[in-house]
Amino acid sequence: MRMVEITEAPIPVTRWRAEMEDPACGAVVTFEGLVRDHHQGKKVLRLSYECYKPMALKVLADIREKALGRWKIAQLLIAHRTGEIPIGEAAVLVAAASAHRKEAFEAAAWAMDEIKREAPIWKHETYADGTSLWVEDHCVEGHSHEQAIRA
Amino acid sequence: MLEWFYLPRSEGRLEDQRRLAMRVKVLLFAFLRDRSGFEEVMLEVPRGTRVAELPGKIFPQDGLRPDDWGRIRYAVNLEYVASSRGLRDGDEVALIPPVAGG
Repeated sequence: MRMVEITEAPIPVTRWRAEMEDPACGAVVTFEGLVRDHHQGKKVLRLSYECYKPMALKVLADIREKALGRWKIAQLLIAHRTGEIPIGEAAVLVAAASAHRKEAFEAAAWAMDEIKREAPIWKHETYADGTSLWVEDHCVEGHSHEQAIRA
Repeated sequence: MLEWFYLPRSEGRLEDQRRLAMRVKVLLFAFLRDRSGFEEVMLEVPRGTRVAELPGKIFPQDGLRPDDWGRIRYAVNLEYVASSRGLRDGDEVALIPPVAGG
């Protein structure tokens, strides 16, 4: 199985978790990023991700390689889902396995931050009030439907 | 959607301009695609063009606010590059607006 994956289908979390089992590892940390029903006080109706897939796969593989070089971990897997994702389902999965817990926690947290910073993946949210926007982590590129049509 | 853009013809013979031009493919994502209406653009640009000059060739002058412009990152052939990176014939360039994976 691939160690990094981008898929339009639901992420098979239990299958990925099973891949992490290793008698030498006393710790497995898995992080699932789930789709929330609200953003900055607005109710989210729909959410979808798009990506520049060939580059995103490369960026995720680079993040994995760097994490494996930086921490004493036996394995690190990354899966990201794209397309429309229902509220409550996983958009991203990061799993790290190590002999002791500290390395797996740190590597998983770092990998997740790197994914948010570097992976060419974008999130589009549609709200109950009829507006929609491309979400940004810190500042927000917002436009209503009217502006989007005019653009 | 595929759209061809050509530079306005200036001085010189057509063959000379052709010989001095490069063709690059530009990919647009998220709000940049929405604004431009294109997800993929083939551009003919003069030799020596840098990646940071591409938005100006795709968007009309008032099409991007200065703060939008400043937040675009560039990737050439799947790698992030500096905005000063010079283009080569056949490059695939992606204009990367602020990302929001995870």
